[in-house]
Amino acid sequence: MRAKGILGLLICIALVFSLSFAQPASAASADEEEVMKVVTNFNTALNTLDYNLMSSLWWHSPKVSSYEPSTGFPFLYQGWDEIGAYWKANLAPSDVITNVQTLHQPQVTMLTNDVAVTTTYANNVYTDPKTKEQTIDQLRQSLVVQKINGKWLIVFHHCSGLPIK
Amino acid sequence: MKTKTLVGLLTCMCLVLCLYVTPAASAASAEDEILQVMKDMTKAIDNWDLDLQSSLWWHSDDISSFSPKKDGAFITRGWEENFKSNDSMKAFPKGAITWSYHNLQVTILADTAAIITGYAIVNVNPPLVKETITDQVRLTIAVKKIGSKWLIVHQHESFFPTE
Repeated sequence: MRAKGILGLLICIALVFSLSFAQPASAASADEEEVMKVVTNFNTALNTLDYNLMSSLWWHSPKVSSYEPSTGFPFLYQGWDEIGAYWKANLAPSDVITNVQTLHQPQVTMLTNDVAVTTTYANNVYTDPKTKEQTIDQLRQSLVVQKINGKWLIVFHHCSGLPIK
Repeated sequence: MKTKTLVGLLTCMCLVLCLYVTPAASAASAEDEILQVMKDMTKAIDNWDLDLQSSLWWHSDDISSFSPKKDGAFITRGWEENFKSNDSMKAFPKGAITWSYHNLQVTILADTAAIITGYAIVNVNPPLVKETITDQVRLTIAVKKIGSKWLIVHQHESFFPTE
């Protein structure tokens, strides 16, 4: 009876020990899931023209920056003031949705417990509201996110078209 | 006179100590260390030094890169694939392609993680082409400090959009 008690105690200790070792892995995967949610929410904000959602995903700091894939825009947007203004203009509410973007092969690489790089491939289908003609753009996207005050936020964005030359 | 010298010496030592421990001083040196990665990258390309280039990357399956080359893969993942992507360049004569980096900016996100942004002017020179072709490439590089060395974990290069 006494031996059984000791054995039970040892099993309990071993379980607690292994759980405490397993914690970092599960914490890392929980973080990866949260990071992935930022990537999908970013896409949702684009597809639904939701400026508020987009704004909530970014760190509102002068340190953030973004490379946009289109022509006619600055070489690099720096600081939330510039980036926020860009999204406000480009995610203006409209009854007609002209762009639908789908994500493929998203991947997360943790640089530290609080910094991650995500890569993804996106297909953007633009429908001309008048002619209904559709054009497809293939895009590569890198998002760098950082956990700030417990929340994963975008600090860098680099989106570019697939090379054609 | 002796007391004055001692006081002067102590003041100097205090100043040196203050400079050493101030966060600004260490931040500057971290930034310099990170920018050194780009200086070494330039050196590696200029001298076609693949060993030096290899030493700048984290040799891990977790690394990735988006290359601006049309014939490149959509994304190159893992160290082996990244290194293999340089194979085609080995046959080029020295100076066939030249890179110069501009407007490099470092943002330190954590003690061991930082981002470098900027652009490169790339010249593809004869005999690879009839006349020199110049392109502008936007650049985002994520680096991680492993041990005492900053290494590249992710690189996104893309041509400046023209259409």
